[in-house]
Amino acid sequence: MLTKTKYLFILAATFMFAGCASVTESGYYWGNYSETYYEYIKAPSEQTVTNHLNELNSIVDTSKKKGLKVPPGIYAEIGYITAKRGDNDNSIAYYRQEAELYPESKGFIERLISDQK
Amino acid sequence: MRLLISIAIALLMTGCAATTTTKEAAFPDMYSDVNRQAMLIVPVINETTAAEAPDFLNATVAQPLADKGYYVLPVPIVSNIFKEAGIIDGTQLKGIPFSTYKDKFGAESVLFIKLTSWETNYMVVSGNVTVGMEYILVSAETNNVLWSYKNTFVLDTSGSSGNLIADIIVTAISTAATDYVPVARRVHANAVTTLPVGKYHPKYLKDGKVKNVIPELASAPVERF
Repeated sequence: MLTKTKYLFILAATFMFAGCASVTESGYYWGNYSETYYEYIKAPSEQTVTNHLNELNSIVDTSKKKGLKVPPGIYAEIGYITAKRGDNDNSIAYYRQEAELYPESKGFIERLISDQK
Repeated sequence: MRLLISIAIALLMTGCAATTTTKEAAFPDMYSDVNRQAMLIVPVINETTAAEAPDFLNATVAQPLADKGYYVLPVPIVSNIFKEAGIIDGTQLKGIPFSTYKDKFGAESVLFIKLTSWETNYMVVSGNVTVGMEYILVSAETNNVLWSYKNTFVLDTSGSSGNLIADIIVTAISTAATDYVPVARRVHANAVTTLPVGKYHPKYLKDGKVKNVIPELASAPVERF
């Protein structure tokens, strides 16, 4: 028989886990990644790139706040957009973050950096 | 008469129960030393007349694969690199040796996805989309097929509030709307349930005994890619 406090505790725990539902099985937070990427695919423009970039930054911020690992490719994408906008130094910094977080990306990252020069 | 019906039903039910096998029996290379962590996903191969359908699939494919513990090379960047080389559909990559992807992208495994059907149906209070897919993951080092999955799904896009007018409107909007991103997500999520998990997943190398692989669905032929 559940006492009132136990019941309230279980209820609270359920709400807590509902909040955690946005963290996926390998421990990532993706936000609205697919939505903003799809909007860019459908209609490539400065605006849709900016919206996607904002979402990428938001994923990084939220991941840091929640103590989660930034998902694969996010830093690299920010670096790529940054490079396309002409900021080479910052883009390389983001590329290196990707390679550090995911060592298997090193070959690809080195290629992106050398393509940029 | 009743006995005959019971027997008939029993036979039908055993016929309907598909036999399954374990992940490690179906995909032994995934539990061996073969290094396949860095995964390249190439543009979807579109065999339908639905020109916009691959966009939904390309936009949603990275997340489920990464969530299964793989490092997925960033899809938007890869897609752009292919586009700059004139490649917008995976069909254009047919015949290219898989080792090329290791050389050019540093990828250890390559995922090809083929869209074989995409049919939307609208029936006023209900709507659905029939999606036919084939997935094949190959090793860029050994050329072996590491994992494959093929299936046709019917996904419901109906409204279901119980209120007839509301359901008609919701169904019309969701079937007519061009946003099938949620549908594409469900398609990928369904496919990767048989995929052995990768390095970043808590169950890495421990899911071999999961017995959810239907052999007939795990046999997309590599020659067609």
